[in-house]
Amino acid sequence: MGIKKLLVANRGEIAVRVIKSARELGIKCVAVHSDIDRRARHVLAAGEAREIGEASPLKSYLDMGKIIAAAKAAGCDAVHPGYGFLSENPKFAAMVAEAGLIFVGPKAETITLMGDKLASKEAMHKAGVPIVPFVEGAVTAKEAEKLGYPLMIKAVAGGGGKGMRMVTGPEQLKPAMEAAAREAQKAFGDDRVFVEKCIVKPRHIEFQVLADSHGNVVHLFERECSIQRRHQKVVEEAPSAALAPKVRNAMAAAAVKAAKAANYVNAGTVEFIFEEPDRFYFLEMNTRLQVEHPVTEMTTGIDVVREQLLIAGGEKLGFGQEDLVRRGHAIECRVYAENPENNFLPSAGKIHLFREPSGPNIRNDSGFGSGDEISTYYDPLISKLVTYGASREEARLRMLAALKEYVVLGVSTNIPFLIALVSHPEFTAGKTYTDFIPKYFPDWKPGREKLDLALACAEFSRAHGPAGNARGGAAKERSYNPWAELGPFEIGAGL
Amino acid sequence: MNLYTLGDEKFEVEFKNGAVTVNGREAVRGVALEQLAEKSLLVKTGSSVLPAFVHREGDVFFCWVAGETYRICGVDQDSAQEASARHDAGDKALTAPMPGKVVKVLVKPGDEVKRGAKLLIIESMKMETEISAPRDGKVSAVKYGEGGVFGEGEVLVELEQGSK
Repeated sequence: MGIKKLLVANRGEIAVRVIKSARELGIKCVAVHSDIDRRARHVLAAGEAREIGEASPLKSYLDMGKIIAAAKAAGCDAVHPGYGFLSENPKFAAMVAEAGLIFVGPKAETITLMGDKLASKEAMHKAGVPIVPFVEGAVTAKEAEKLGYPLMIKAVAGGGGKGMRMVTGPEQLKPAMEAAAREAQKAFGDDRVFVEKCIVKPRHIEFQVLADSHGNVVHLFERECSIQRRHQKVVEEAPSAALAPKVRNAMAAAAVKAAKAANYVNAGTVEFIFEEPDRFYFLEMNTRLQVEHPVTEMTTGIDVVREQLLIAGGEKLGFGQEDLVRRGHAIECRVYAENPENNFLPSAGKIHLFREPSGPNIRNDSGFGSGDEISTYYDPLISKLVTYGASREEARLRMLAALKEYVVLGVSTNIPFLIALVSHPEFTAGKTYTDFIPKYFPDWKPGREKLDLALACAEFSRAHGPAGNARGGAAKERSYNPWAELGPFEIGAGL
Repeated sequence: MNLYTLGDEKFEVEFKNGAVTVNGREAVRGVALEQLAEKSLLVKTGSSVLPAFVHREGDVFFCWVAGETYRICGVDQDSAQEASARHDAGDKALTAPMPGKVVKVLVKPGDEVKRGAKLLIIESMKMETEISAPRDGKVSAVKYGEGGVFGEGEVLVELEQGSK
């Protein structure tokens, strides 16, 4: 049947990314946007756009009725949810299907099952996939003791680190449970939490799977995403430096088994917690396109979004497992509008100048450009910078060079932090564990090698620069980077 | 000679005859700057040639020099005193770094708190964040209740200096 016209129910880099692959398949695209995103990059990329409400996500990008109405009105036959927003909302998937449209993703019941962290663990356990021991709901001190500290509290409906808390001793248990439940209620409308044993020195390794509607399932090998800050991934790579061929095969087989057990259709990701040298536990299955899918694309040559669209259109996978070969190494850095000098708080404002790095084997999936605003309403991800190399070290050095070429003026970014991270000897050695950032960068501050020259540039601009924006902006200026004027208090102290 | 600030630090900068003097110390010599295009500069020091980009917005200079980014405030001598007065007035007030919502209030007026004590839990950009006391002191006002929605820069809590 094939998709002819696609509504992309997202914004930012992922909406732009999806539109690119759809275009290549000859699929027409329709963007939806909130009032403040009228001129956003995804709107420009789509060529056809519908405004669906106010800036607040609940009134636009999360408004299922408006999005489906827009799809119908624009004559679309399919909806791609991207990641975040409604991508893992089973109700939305069901509503899209009921409206006679194709949802580019798995069936609603699969999303429901995998969205329930407990039910999914039970299902995987039954299917023979290893899981981490856990206790459901309000855990007693005795139960907690039995699981053994440190413990991890997680939202049943969870994802993206929201509603997640680590507990190292019994005295923290109650406040952490409360905070996690509150955050979960707000993020997912479901305050149920569970407690599980925290694996010490874990790595986060996930397998990309593709499943068509004819029962064919393949995996596209693993990605390692251990470098995280507050449970949000920061750097991802493929392959993982930690896996020996034997355990890689075992994990891949478990991932395919997990997808089959869930009757999975479309692209999905099976996440594992990995303990060296060869123990792995099912963590969760993400029933959507992952942020970090480009590292898989760079190393396998498969366009994951293209496959999503073909699968959703009813086609059979054009390749089998034996056709898939991985080559070389890819690294992705998430470039966020945030201030690493101030606890990585989001930095909102206008991007006055945006210059992306370029060159062989450098890819930057971006949703912004010069003149665009980073709004506090949405995720502060500016772009995903990906480099490829024949070896990990080649990809790493290319990443370092690319980061040093990347210019963003107007909002603070984590680029200087990423440069320090990718330069770190432990990262260079591939010793990446989930505690990497808190362990090696507890109070990181950027270097100031070029400060004197920067001051000279400021002084030069003051004397010679265009006077156009030099005056009258003083009052407005304060809104550009609130974090720089944070004043005398600390946010997140003790985290 | 002009005054710049970076965070809390002040820099008196003079750029004359290719020499950059910062706070009375000659920092770099033999510097030549050239405007290549709008916002784009060339920085030459000896045989090294570096790219730089500068955007000026009001008093703020966003500078990128060879991979490092700085947000430098150019202090206008006239408004410097005014700014200093504003800073003093704001000294006891803890202001909101971004728009958000109060999730939980953990102190009440009259409470004596130690540095690092948790005052509020706020939510912004979908993340919960704890607001902690920057120093010992006595809470003199809590401006928002639970569920209160605040804008950027608004006062959340007032903290008097401790009795000492």
